[in-house]
Amino acid sequence: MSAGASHQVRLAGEMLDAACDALAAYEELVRARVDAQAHPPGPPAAGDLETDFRRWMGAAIGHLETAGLVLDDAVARGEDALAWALAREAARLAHETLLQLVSHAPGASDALRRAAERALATWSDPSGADEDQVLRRIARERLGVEAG
Amino acid sequence: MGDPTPTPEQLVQRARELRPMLVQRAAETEANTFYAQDVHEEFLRAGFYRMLVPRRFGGYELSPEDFFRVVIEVAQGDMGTAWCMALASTHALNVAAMFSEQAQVELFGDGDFRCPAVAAPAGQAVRADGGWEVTGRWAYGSGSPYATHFMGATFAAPSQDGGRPGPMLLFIAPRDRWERLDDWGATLGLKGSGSHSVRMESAFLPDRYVLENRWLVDTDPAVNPGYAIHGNPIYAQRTLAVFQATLGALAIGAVRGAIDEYEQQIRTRRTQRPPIVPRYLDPDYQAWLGRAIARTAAAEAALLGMLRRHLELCRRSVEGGVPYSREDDLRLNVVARDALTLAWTALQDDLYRTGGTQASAAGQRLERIFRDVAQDWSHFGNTLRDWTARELGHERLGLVRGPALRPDTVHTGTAP
Repeated sequence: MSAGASHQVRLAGEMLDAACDALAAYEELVRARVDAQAHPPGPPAAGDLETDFRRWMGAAIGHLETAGLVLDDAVARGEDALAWALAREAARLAHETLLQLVSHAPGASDALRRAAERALATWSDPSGADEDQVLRRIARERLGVEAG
Repeated sequence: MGDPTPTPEQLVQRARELRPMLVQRAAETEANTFYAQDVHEEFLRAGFYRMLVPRRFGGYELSPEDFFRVVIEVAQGDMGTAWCMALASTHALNVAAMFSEQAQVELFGDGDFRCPAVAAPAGQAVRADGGWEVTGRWAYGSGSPYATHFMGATFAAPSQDGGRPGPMLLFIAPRDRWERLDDWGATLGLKGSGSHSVRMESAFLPDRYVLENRWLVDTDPAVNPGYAIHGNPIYAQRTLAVFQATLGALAIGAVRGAIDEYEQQIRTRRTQRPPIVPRYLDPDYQAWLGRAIARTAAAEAALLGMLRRHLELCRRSVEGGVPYSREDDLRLNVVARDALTLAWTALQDDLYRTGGTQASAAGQRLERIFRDVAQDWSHFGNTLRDWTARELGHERLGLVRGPALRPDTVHTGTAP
């Protein structure tokens, strides 16, 4: 491996931070829409579009918790190939969640754009190219064969 | 083997030891629509049905995490078998949480307790002296072949002909009050899961076996007596997260079994294009196997992690006075479905796609696992994916009014 599991763990942590920032920005946009439509004392009537925004937000809340749990497991495993791959899976989950938020945004947000830029920078790390090599190493360890 | 109380590791080990037998008998289980009597007796000896039964009744009170670790091991052998065993076992949690102490003493007895449950309401109940007479038919009673009880939902009959039904009722019925129908086995997968329909005909249930205005799927533990009776936070649970975790654990175990089978396949077969080599030496097959292992490990990490958080939320609610909120339950439900999604993706994208046509022939292990997990993927719990996310968004924003959406509130027009 050209870069170890600890590096992937760090990258996944950065990706998760960026995705959490994106979620916070998204939630702010959704809350602003809810407030704008509110007619006290009851909550606003919501059309399909509004409930779609809330669905995207709810899904992201759960997905980022999933990513965090997978990352925790990668951290606990230490410096092995499976830890590398788990950190990568956590980063992928967080990245995909962020992309869903960006592509279904309820409005323009500088914070959301900045989070997306951070995520892209993290996802572009050259160590990502090692992924298939790491996966083969996991398989070879199970199969009991040497590389090449 | 049932005494003394086994440790979680001992139970996991017993499941591992039974696995080769479960693999070998999977076709027989599927043909018979449920596992054989001698397999049931192995599970009895192993203590699997007692894992979530309260200690005072001879059970083990395992944590949900440990329970599902055992379920994963059994499902790695055969998912249909594990489905039947798990769905007969897991509802001990609900019964111990929700029903009165007197009812539990009668229902659990000496701890020999296996209870399938169907959340969707059907049929109706008519008031009788000291209880209810229940009539109806409930589909998908997974775990019914060796069950001692059945838990279901119905509506109180209208007070006058043509009137609206009364409140929804959650009930539990001992084995002598219901009939198992011979109607399972026609689905794509999980043919061996023992998910037969249950029928009741004017079956009398005392009041203590019937809870009014309660739904199995989405419950508030604040109104349940379970922790006060047993002193264990596992009986102070909400239900959305654990419900979905069951579907996730079964899929994870099955996909582990698919990885085992895939390994055997690539060890014995050669590539279909140059270079012609044993598949296990080919870099593409190695990467596909490695990705399936990683995705399944991620699924397991997410599932066991959410179960630890679930237990911590239960504990915090009863010992720290911090409510286990519906938002918490919905969030963990999403995590459990993510775990299932990861496992399903490993199966269909990494293993089945590259497993070859031979491996998908009728009767092959990979073919059966694919059908079984596909059946899980189409379960009602996964239909709830978008509803759950929307409800979670609403909870986060504080937009949920009144009682949570339930079949009875829809039925009576009182949904928020």
